[in-house]
Amino acid sequence: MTKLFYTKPVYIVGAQRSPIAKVRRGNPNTSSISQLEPKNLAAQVLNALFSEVKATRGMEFSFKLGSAISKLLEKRSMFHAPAKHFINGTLWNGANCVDASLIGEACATGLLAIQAGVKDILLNDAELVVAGGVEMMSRHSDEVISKIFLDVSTGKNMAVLSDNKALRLGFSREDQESYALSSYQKAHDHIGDHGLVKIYLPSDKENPALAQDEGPMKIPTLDMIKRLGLIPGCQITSPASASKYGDAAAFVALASSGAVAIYQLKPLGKIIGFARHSELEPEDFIIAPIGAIKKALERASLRTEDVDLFEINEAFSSTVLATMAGLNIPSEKVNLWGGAIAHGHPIGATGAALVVKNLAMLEKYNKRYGVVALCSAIGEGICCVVERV
Amino acid sequence: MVACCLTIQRIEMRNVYIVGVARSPIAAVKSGKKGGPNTSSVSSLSPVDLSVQVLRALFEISGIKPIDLDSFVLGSAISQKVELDSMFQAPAKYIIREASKNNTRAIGTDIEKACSTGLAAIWHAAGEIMLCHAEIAIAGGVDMMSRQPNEIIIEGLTDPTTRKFMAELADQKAKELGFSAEDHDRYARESIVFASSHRQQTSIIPIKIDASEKSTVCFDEEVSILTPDRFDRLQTKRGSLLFPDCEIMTPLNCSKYGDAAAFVALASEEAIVAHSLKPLARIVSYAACGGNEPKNFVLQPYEAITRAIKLAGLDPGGIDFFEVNEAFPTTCVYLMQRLGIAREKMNPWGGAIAHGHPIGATGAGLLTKAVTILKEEGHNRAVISVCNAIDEATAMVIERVGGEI
Repeated sequence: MTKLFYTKPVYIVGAQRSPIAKVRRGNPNTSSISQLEPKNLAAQVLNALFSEVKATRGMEFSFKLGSAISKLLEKRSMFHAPAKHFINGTLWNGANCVDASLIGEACATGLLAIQAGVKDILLNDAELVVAGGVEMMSRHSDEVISKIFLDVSTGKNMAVLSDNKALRLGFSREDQESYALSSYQKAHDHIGDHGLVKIYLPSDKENPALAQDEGPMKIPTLDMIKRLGLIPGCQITSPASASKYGDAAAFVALASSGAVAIYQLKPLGKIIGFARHSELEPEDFIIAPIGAIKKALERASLRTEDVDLFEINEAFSSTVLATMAGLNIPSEKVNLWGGAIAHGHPIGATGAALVVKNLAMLEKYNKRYGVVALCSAIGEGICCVVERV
Repeated sequence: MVACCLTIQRIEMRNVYIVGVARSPIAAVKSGKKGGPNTSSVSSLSPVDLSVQVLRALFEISGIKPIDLDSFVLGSAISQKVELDSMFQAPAKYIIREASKNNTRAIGTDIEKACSTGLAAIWHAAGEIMLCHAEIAIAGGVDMMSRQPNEIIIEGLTDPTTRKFMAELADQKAKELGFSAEDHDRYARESIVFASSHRQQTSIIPIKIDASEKSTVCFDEEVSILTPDRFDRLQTKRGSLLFPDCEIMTPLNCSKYGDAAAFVALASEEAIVAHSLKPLARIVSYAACGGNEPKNFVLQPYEAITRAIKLAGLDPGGIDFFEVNEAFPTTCVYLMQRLGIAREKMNPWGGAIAHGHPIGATGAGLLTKAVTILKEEGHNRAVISVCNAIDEATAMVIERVGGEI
């Protein structure tokens, strides 16, 4: 393949996310913010982002909205032209959104929206892009939500596919659960380290309904984890080793060097590599991030050991264990503040939320290179390489 | 306005070639009785089945082997949001796996940009090739408006911000511009006449409903239903046909519902050489434009087209014909006036008024048609443009290549 890749810098000039709300299971499900529509949740995060980049009249930007579940189920607010409709509900009305689209594909969605934004800047289609995702899994029944975990091509649940592959790779229930326990602990220890947009309900403008990630507030002990039953059809995977449902929105602002100069934007980082990768077999989705990370690092002209901090989405423990093993990544570099096992995995928002989190960690620990990777149906992985500026 | 933002500047990137086009016929949608689902002659097929038939034909036509495909970009504006049993988890990847009998490593992407969905999907795939993220890609769209009750379809034709019907917004804008019902009806009738002499198109893949040969759909059905004669007969009742709160727009002079799938195959120069593919056309440029006034969506194609033409280093005179989506006649009437385009260069084989507007498939259907016209009528350059909610449009310039690069 001809090497062309990244012909000009793409800056991240703003990054905001909501906390991830825990979904309380029931009929219907609920959460602390489930009475909001996704567009209201997204608007609160977008408004914070617009104030971070000091949006002004005359700015032109493109918008890439990611959503995997809400977009299919929110008939009233997300049926026709949802991306532009979301922007019309924010405080960026003075600026001009010249190109809005909805983008996604399963768990890759949030990061894929950012990748589409990077592509727009590299191709001169845009100088400024807002990209990310929103998902509210609390607003729908379990029966509907569970469709996102069903691989239609094999008729199997993603947990079962992961379980099959993890067994084949030689992992045990103990491996998966000791990883899960460490993730819970890290998430709990770093609960106050994230910079988050507080989310308010219309009924109470004084007290936020959601101020911190709710998943890691109360974490299980090893004993509790050991006593959990397995997910139906699985031999080594219990709910402890899988990500949880969540509600969240996360967006970043991307800019060309021209836009950085003209609007006097403050770069937080650069996106220096992107890649997606597919395996042939659906169950290989848990190892697909390996291929994606390799390609993205090659495009960024980096080696695995150059990367300071990895965010590998904890769809399942198996994804992280397989990726660390496949690329020889030491665990001290991976998911330092925990991941989706404790925080939750608001499907279409996760990729963007991990970029926001990775940037915050690079800043906090004064590190340079970060990698964000996710596994995704069917048999896919996606990866983005970030450099702090 | 700040001097930024979008500089009209061509960026030197790899060329992207169209190496195959295929679309289903557009099936006419019959209105459901008493709030029940609409139907069509293909509504027993799922959007997945419909897409798979077109994609398998496209693999054959283009000579692309599924295992060599790097990327598949699926556009769908309606079907994806309602076909929850087959298009929920990873519809793009699922469809391309079905089409290639699971023998593909193509990455899947879903894109939606209202009526511009199909064209936006194609540009996304082209961008992946330009950036060397892919060498061979297939992109396009599918929508089946027949498989839902009308109230769902109407939600998809309602501006979400003003809650007004798109036809009403177009009607308002048409009147503001001083257009009349007569010029809209004349344009619409001409579209129907043009379409009636181009029923057979080489890019149309006959769609099999079941195993029997009889149940094959081969032509855009609406063209046979709404003939020029029937149009004239129905015109006598025009007053009673007006859309709610409209004075110009009627179901006769606007686009029709439809079911269709349309896809194009794209490749880099390297891939064409390596896999002995046959280039038909080159994608020269693309532009997406937008503003904040919902009713102005009918005029946005002007902005998108002029930007795309400038990016191509051309002027409107250098374009042989325009494929502009006839969501409403206003856009085409306005463009002909503003850019001085002759009627026979505007949708020369007819448009959505005559054969239907299967929302998410339309952009790819127009590109498929444009490539066919370039080849069969010996033209060199065409523009494809689609208006979309909310106050946006896309446009693409393509150039015939003729088998050699």
